[in-house]
Amino acid sequence: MISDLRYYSVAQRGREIGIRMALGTQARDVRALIVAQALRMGAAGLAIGLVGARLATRVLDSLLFGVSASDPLTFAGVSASLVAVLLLAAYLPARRATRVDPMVALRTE
Amino acid sequence: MADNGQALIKLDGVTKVFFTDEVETHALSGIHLQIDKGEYVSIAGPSGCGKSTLLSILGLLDSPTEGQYLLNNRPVAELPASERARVRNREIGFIFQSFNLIGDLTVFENVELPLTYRGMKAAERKQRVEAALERVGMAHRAKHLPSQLSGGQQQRVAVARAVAGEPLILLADEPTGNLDSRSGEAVMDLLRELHRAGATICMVTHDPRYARHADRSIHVFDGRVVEEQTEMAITE
Repeated sequence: MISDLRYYSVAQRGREIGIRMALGTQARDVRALIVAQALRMGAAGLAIGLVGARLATRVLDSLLFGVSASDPLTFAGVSASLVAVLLLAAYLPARRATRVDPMVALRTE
Repeated sequence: MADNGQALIKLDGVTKVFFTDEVETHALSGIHLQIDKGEYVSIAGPSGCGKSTLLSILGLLDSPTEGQYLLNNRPVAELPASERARVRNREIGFIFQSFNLIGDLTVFENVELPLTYRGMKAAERKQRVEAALERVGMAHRAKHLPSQLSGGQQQRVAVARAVAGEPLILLADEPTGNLDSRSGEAVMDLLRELHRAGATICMVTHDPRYARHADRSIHVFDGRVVEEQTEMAITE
């Protein structure tokens, strides 16, 4: 779902990408811009998620055996996995977008 | 920079063929073209004649299938994509029919955009942007968004973006195509002022009224140059 949203978001910005490339930005800089924007959005979501999870652990504590509901390793592992998925979901459509002919992108309304 | 009278752009036998499925489309065939520094050239022709393809090749947005392209005496037709982007950024200024400003950026940020790709310092970028906006009469709208401007004003900002980096040549693709006649005349007057100040301009247009603004008009039909007219011939 993250990947679908990123593909849609990048597709919507095809014309902007075409403009930037026509003005002389390097393809790698466009990819970096898209990935950086995705990471900023992801960071905000992750922060909200972590706060929510921390609150939820108070309820879950009584239901668990042998593991703490606020196990830091679990939090770190899940966060890292989400960041990895986000990076991949952002990079693949970004790479595809920079392969489009800028003149084709510029003509897109 | 090329000296006055020397060729800034030289196309020699440039051909462009588009291959889609089993169909070959010959967009350009054996184009020979020279544009000297300080010249104002228009490329005119009916829709589908290949003039926009020609401009794409001149602007290094596309590569010819055959032929040679010299920009300031340097062969550029077969440069890798990264080097073409670098040359586009530093040596070519684009003015598009649809303005192509980025809606989320202010007027100032739009004009500044190509300069940010050069690693230029912020103070120098600011100076160049302000000078460019002053030149086109849009300095007072620097903090506005493109959506707050009329079509003519957006095109003026696009012209400022094109000239801010002091490129070797300005390439204009139907710059008045999306404007009413009054705004179109204003943009053409602006281009004429830039030319008088020394700019080299190559403009694609299908409108013979605007083709007459140039020193020389090249007519393209079915991907070939069929006629060239000088200013003297155009005004007769």
